[in-house]
Amino acid sequence: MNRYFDNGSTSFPKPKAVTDAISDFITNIGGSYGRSSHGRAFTTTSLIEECRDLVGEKLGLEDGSNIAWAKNATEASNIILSSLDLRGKRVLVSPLEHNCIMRPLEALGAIIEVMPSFADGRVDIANLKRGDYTLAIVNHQSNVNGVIQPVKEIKSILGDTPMMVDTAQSLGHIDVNISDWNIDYAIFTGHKGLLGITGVGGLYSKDTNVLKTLIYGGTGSNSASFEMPKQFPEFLEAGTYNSVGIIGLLAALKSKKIINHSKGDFLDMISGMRSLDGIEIFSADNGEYQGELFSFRHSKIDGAKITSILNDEYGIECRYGLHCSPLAHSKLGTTESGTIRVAPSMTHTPQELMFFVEVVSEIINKFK
Amino acid sequence: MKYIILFKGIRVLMKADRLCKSGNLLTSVIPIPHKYTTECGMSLLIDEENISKFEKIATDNNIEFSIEIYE
Repeated sequence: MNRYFDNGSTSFPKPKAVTDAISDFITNIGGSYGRSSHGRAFTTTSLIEECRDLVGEKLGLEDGSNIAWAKNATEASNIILSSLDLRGKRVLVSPLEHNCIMRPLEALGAIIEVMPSFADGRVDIANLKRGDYTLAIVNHQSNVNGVIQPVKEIKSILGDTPMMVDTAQSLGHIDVNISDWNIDYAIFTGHKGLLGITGVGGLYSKDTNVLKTLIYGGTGSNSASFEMPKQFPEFLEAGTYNSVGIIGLLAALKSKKIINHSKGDFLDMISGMRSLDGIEIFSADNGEYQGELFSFRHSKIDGAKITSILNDEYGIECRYGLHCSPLAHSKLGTTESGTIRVAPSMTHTPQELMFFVEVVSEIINKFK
Repeated sequence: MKYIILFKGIRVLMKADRLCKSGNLLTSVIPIPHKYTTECGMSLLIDEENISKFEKIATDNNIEFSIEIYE
């Protein structure tokens, strides 16, 4: 039985193809990207470019031409935000942003304003107004309550305001279509819904000339110069990148996904949880906008205690706290209590989802 | 005579190489000779008789390049 419910942090299990590809790469290939013309380096470079293209397609792009690698979505966010001269500028964010957005914005001295929203944090597009914003940022799917934001509609209302979308929780789970959304920037990670390993993420930029180098160093090109190359993505990809991780991600993207439960099964799980005594659920108000995670708390039992019992007595792993998203908790009124986040894998069966509900019910009964 | 084809970046070179292979055009990837400066550390080595075929492939696929004699 799969008792891992912390896929919002990182997905588990990974496809066997990922392990096999990584092992094969380390054992039989092992070259360095873009550094040499010999067979190992060429094969590595070729595989990494293939992965870049597949990630681009997954993001709804023609290919990976506007994709740059980073070590995670957070680094990608930092690259984009630090390129945009945001000090003293108005930036409009959705109410469910992660600290991979909020902390860079704060550090960069941006004036942060929050979009109008409903009780669950979904942006209220009827009351969203166009304004003198340098940038708008939307977390496509919340990592706290799983709310999916209406990205296309938000962009449509904001018009020419450049918009960045965080796809860390959504990519691989639900459709992401940058071309259709007509957005300007996106960040992604490879180790969540895409089922790769940690250490690989990246960014999309419609206009790559806007971006500025964050990390300086060798790129395998124009080595006589102390200056970074001008070519995208070279000027963003200094140093040797995580070839092992990217090769693993490539295998994940090519492997057939195992999906053992439907969205209806997941919504049944939420309903089951909601029916338990003292449990308060944090999810989308409308199942149509619900991604595959939610949070809960109990009116009397501390969340840390429930999480520990889940782990210690039942071997069920999930995350308790603020999930690096204080803005979202402020919106949901859960800053003081924190929440327990439940993020199943696509491979969980309906029975395993309901097992979770039964266990929480059992724990609650112990405290009666 | 052989020529080398220079590109702006490694991604562009890899795309060009892939298109050449699928078009049965014989090229090989080699390090850029020291006298040339580009933002790509590699180049494609190609025989003179294949230049025009390469140029067509590159033009059809919006690939920017420059050609130098391989000495």
